[in-house]
Amino acid sequence: MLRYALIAWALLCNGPIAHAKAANAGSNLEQTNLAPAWLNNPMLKTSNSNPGNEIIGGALSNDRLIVGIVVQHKGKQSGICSGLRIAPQVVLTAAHCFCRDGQVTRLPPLVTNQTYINSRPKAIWIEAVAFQVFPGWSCKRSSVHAYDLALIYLADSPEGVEPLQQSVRKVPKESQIKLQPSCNMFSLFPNIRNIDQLVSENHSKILVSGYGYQEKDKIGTRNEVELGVSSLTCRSELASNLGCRSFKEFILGAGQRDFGRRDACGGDSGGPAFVRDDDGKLIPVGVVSRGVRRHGPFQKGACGAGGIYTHIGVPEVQRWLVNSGVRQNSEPCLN
Amino acid sequence: MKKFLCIAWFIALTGCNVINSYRVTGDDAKEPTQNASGAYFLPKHLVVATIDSTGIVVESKAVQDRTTLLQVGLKLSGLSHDTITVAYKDGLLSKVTSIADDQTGAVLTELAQAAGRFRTNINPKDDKEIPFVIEFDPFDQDESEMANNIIGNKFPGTCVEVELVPGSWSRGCGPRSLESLLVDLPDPEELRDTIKSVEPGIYYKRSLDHRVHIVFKRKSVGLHTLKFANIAPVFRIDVNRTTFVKRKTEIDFEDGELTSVMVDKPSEVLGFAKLPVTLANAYISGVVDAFAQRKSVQEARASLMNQQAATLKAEQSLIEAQIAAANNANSPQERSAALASISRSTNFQNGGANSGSANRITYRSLQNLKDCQRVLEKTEAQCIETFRILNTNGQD
Repeated sequence: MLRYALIAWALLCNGPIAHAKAANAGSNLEQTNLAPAWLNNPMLKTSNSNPGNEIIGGALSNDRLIVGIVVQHKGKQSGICSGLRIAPQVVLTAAHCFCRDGQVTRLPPLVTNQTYINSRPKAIWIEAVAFQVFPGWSCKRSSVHAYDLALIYLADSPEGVEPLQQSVRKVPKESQIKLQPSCNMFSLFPNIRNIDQLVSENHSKILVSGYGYQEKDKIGTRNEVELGVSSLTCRSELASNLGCRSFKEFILGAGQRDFGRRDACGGDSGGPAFVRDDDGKLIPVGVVSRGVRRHGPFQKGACGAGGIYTHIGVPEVQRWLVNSGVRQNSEPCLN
Repeated sequence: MKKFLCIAWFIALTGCNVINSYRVTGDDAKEPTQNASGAYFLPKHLVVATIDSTGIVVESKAVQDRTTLLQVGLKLSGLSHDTITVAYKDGLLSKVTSIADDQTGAVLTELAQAAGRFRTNINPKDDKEIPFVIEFDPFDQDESEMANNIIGNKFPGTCVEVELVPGSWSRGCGPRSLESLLVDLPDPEELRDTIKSVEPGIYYKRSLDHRVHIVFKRKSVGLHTLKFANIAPVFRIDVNRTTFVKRKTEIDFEDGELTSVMVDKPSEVLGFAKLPVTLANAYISGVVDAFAQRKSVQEARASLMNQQAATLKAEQSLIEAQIAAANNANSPQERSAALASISRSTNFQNGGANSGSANRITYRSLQNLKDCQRVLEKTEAQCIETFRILNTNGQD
C-alpha cells in the first residue's frame, strides 16, 4: 500500500516520466522510509475503506448560499449534489448531477439550505420548477466542449427555513445578512472572478463547500474546506494527464500538502469553489466537477487525490449565465 | 534583366522543398508546378481480437485513416539531378528516397519499432473450432461498444478495452472496465491530431503505446501494451533540397510509421546522429488476479512511460541529427535552410538550432496558446501576457 501511495504521490508531484522512475524505485523509497509521515496514517477515502463521501478534512459551513440538492429519477431520490445560490431563486451546480442511465433526468430536483440533510422526508425542501444543463452537455458522449454546469430554478427562496448554525468555521456575518428574506434582488454574478483576476490575485488556496454524505445514504452535512491550488489553468502536461481541460477547468487539492487530507468528494459535486474578499463576500470561482483520474490505489470512488473544478469566470460561461436569467448587477441587500 | 530573373528563379527552386504533401481535397490546393506522385493516408490501428473457447488473441493492425488523403508532389529542379522515388504499400507511405552526387560518410538514425502482438492465453486451440475474429477501432467509442457487445454475446464475460488516455478506457467492458473516471471521458475526436494546414514535407505518425485490458470469461487475463497511431501526433519531415538532396536520403516507413532515416553526411556527426533506440517489450504474461492486477497496472504504466520516453528520444535524435547537419553546412544559405527544416521538421517540438530549453516552444505550449485564445477569447498577445503572469507567480 505504501509503495502505491508513493507512486501516486510521485505522479502527482513530478509528472508521468518521474512517475515511471518512481515506480522502479518504489522499493528503495520504502526501505529508506522517505515517505511523509502522514502517508503512514493515510486518510485516503476509498470506496472500500470508508463509505462516507463528505468533504475530507473540512468543517461545518455556515454559509447558506450553499445548498444541498437531491436529484430525482423515475420518481425516486437518486443522488445528492451541492450547489450555490447565485441568485435568490437560481442555483448553480454541476451538469453531471442530472445524469442517470446515460441521459439527463427529466424530474426537477429538490433543494435545501439546511446544514444537515437527514433524509428526504425530514428535511425542508424547496422544489425546483426547472433546470437546465450547459448547452452541448451530454451524459453519454464526452463533453469536451461543454462545461459541467447546470442551473436550477427554484419555486421559492429558501430563506428562513432554519436558524443559522453556530459554525466551527468563522463565516462573516455580512454574508448572512445578504440572505435575509427581504433580499430578493441579489446576484453573485458581479462577484465572479474571471481567470485574469484569479491569475493576478495569485490565490494559493481556494475554499470548497458541499453536502457529501457522512454515512452512505444517511446524512449529508454542509462542510467547507480550504484546498491548495494545484493548477489554475491546467496548462501542463501533468494536469492534462489528470483529465483537466486547459482554461476550462482547474485542479485543487492534488498537491502533496493536501494529498489524502483535504478534498471534495462524491456528494459535493456542483458545490462552489470560492474565495472571500476582505468583507467576507463570497467570490465564486468554480464548481466541483470530479476527481482527478486515479490509478493504483485510487480506484473508482476514492477521494483524497485532488479534484477538477469547472471555471465559471470564462466568457462563454458568463454569457450563458446572463442569457439564463442571472442578473448582471446586484441590488444592495443589507437591510 | 530577364537573365537575372531566370537565375533568381533557379536559385529559388534549388533551395525549396522537393517533396511536398497536399490534401487531395480542401483548401490546400496542389500547385500547378508540382508533379503528382501518388496519394497516401496516415495510419491508424484497429484492435483485432481472435477468440475461441480456449482463449483470446489480441493484436493491433495498421489501416488507412481515411479522414485525410495526402497527395505527394515533387518539385523537381532544372539545376539539380534529383532522383526521387516514393513507394507506397496498402495506401500508406513505404519509402522515400532521394539521391544526389554528394555521398560521403553514412549516418544512420535507427528508430526501433516494438513488436505489438501477444497472446493472452496459451492454451492450444481446438483444430475443429473456427475462431471468431473481430476488428474495431477502439478510439471510436460507439464502434468499440458495439464490437464488445458482439464479443460478449458470443463469449459471455469477454471484452477488450484500450486505454485512450491515462485513466480513460474505451467503451464496452462495463463493470469490468478499469475505467477510473467518475464522470467524463475525453472525446477521442478531440484528442486526434489533425493536420490544420498542409506545409511542405512528408507526414507520418508515430504510434503511441496504449494499455490493452483483456477480459475473458469474466476474468482479467491480460494487461498489455500495444501500439496505436490513432491519436498520435502527426509529424512532418521537411525534405528540402539543401539538407537532403545534396546527399543520399532514405526514409523508411512501416505501416505508415517512420522507422528509419538515413542521411549520408560527413562522418564527424556520426556520434550525434547514431542514437539507436531500443523500445522495451512491455509484455506482461500470466493471468492476473485481483490483487496482482493492481501491481501489474503500475508495472505496465512504468513500462508505458519508459517506452513513450524512448519514442520521444527517438524524435529528439532525429532533430539533433538535423541540427548537426546544420552545424556542418557549407554555406550560410545552406545552414539557414537546414535550420528552417529543423524548426519545421515536426510539430511536436519546434526547437530550431538552439536546443536549450529556454527557447524551446513545445507542442503543448502551442496547444495552450490555442486553448487560451479560444476559451478566454483573447488575442495571442493577451494570452502570452497571461502566461507570463502565471509563470512569474509559479502557477500552472
